[in-house]
Amino acid sequence: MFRLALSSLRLRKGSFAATFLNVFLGATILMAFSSLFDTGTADGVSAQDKKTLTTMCYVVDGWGVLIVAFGIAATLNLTVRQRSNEIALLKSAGAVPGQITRMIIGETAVVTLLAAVLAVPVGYLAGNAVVETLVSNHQVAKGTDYEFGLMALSMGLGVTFLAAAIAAYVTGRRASTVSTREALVTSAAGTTKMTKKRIGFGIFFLLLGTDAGVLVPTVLKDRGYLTMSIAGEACIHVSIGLALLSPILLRIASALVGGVVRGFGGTPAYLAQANIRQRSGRMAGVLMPIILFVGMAAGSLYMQVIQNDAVSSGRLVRSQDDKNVETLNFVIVSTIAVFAAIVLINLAVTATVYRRREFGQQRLIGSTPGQVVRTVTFESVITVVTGLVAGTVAALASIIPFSLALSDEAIPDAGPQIYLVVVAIVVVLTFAANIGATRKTLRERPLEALAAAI
Amino acid sequence: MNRAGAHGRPVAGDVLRLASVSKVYGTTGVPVTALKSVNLSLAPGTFTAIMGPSGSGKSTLLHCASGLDQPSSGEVYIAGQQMTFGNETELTRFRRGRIGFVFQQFNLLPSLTVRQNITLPSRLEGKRVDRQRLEAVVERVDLLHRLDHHPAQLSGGEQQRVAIARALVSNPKIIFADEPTGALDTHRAAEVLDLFDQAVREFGQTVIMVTHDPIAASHADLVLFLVDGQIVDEMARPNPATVAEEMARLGEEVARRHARSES
Repeated sequence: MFRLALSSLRLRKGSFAATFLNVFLGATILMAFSSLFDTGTADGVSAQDKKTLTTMCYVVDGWGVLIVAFGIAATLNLTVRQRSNEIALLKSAGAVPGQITRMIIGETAVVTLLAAVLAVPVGYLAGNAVVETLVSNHQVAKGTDYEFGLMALSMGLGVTFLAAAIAAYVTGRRASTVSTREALVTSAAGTTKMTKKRIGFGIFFLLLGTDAGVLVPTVLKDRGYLTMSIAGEACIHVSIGLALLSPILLRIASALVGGVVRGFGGTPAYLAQANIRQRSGRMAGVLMPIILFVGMAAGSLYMQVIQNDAVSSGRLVRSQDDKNVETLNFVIVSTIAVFAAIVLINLAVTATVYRRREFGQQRLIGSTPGQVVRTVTFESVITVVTGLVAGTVAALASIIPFSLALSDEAIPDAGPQIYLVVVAIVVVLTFAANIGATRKTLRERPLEALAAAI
Repeated sequence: MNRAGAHGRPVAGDVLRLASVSKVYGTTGVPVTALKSVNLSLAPGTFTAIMGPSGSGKSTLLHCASGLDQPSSGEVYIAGQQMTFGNETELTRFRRGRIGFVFQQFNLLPSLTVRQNITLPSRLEGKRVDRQRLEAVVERVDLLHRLDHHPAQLSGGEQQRVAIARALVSNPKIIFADEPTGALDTHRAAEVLDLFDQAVREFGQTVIMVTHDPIAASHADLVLFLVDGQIVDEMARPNPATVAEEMARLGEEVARRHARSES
């Protein structure tokens, strides 16, 4: 099965490139920021510097682990699902479920290993750059030696391996336990009900987030950095919860927005709605990075605005810590946002290219290329609206408690500019990825699309 | 009767006419000629089968005649209107309402129900679905109880019946069927062929079908035999035995010819 795994890697460079990119960037980010821990805990570093460096490590790693794990799981799930036909064929040729699971784990292991090892030198350089920036900003003492040690390697390699292993195992098991007939049939239908476990976890995370949100303006008020970091956690937990529940959100949004969209969208909108209803599970994949992106970017940035306002109005005394946190916030937002954006593009393109057969069929029975593009556009509208609403809820989960804690007002006195920029980025990325990939599949004739995809 | 042969001479009321249609694949390297100046005319309400050994150009003929592929030279007319191989949007608009398709692999959209699949071509065209015709067609293909199912819940035979209903409901000038029974067992295949028969007799449809199965071909009024991209023979009122015999004869001839060209 391992040799089969290797040859399948060679054949499917495209979809493995998606996994590779995900692991590579994720491992780079984790290693770069975990090396701050190594640097901070080295001998001769002052207590203040140690605190600055390790805090930065904790916060970025919290978001990083989350998004790396989610990203790897989503990409892997998608690439394996796309091969349900091939897996069904392997089974009908006599492969037992264990062999299929081993094949998928084997493939993933090779890709992950390659990506994570290549990420080591890049992560080293990136971490070094962060430390140098901190030194030149006088947030860390001059002459602090950069260390890239145990924490960097164990987080960078460990987390990515663990995430990949769990994702590969779960996906492999799911792929190998459906019966051969079912696999051949559902590969076309792809209707997957959400498991009770997933719904349970989703609700659990929403409750965790609510809990954190309630604590911030009450028990944890005026606790300096702790207030801010727990408020940040509220956003993380709500994001995870909503991402887990995203297929349900998508169906609700489709039902709500659908009527309006169909009013002026005609047949493409009608098709888009049917596609979302039937394949909310598959289409929800792209919601995860959208929710995390919006929640994290809007949440962190507005929290910073609230903090700055409190300082300038004299309610809060600015400490060295606060300055660090500000730098930290921007570093986190930009790093994680870039990563979420890449995951978003990755998932959107992979999912769309996979549909070339479906687009080919649609064209054969009388759909013009323009109608195909419009169908995808309407799907993207419904997806983006859902993702933006969920992401905004996640962001508010940290903004409202934090604002209450610092200014006794639920809604901060800050303009909508930051939010609008975040929204614009998400809209542009999603539409560009979806429509760009669709246009690419339309370049081949419908017959070629059908023949190539079988 | 077939009005082919006569060099694609225009006959009033022809549903399909090919005038010296050729198709050459591969402009770089060694070009392969898949169709050599094929002429063909089909009258309305006829059921025609195209047979030939593998690589004889059957599918290419179907694709060129239906506008799915562009001929290298020659002209294609559907109901007297010349097909213009412009961009895909124009070609799709031309095909709509004129041409229906039935494929070996059904090609139903997985996320739509049976009813939605059947009415999709009309919707894409922006036409209202003709309720009466929909009901008549669905009853004829015996899918009334399946209308709200999804393709994945149906057997292969049922899926192909949905595809036939989809082709029939927009009342096209001609239906192109590419190995429509290729993925079905004998019993389901017979049902599908009976449906084509009825479409021709009862709805006055014109059907042209590519097949390699003599039994399937024997349902047609006329069988055209294709060898090396040319129509070499035709057989009216075919029966499975004579079709099989002719295929065997052509197969041997091709083998002999290829052996000669190699020696």
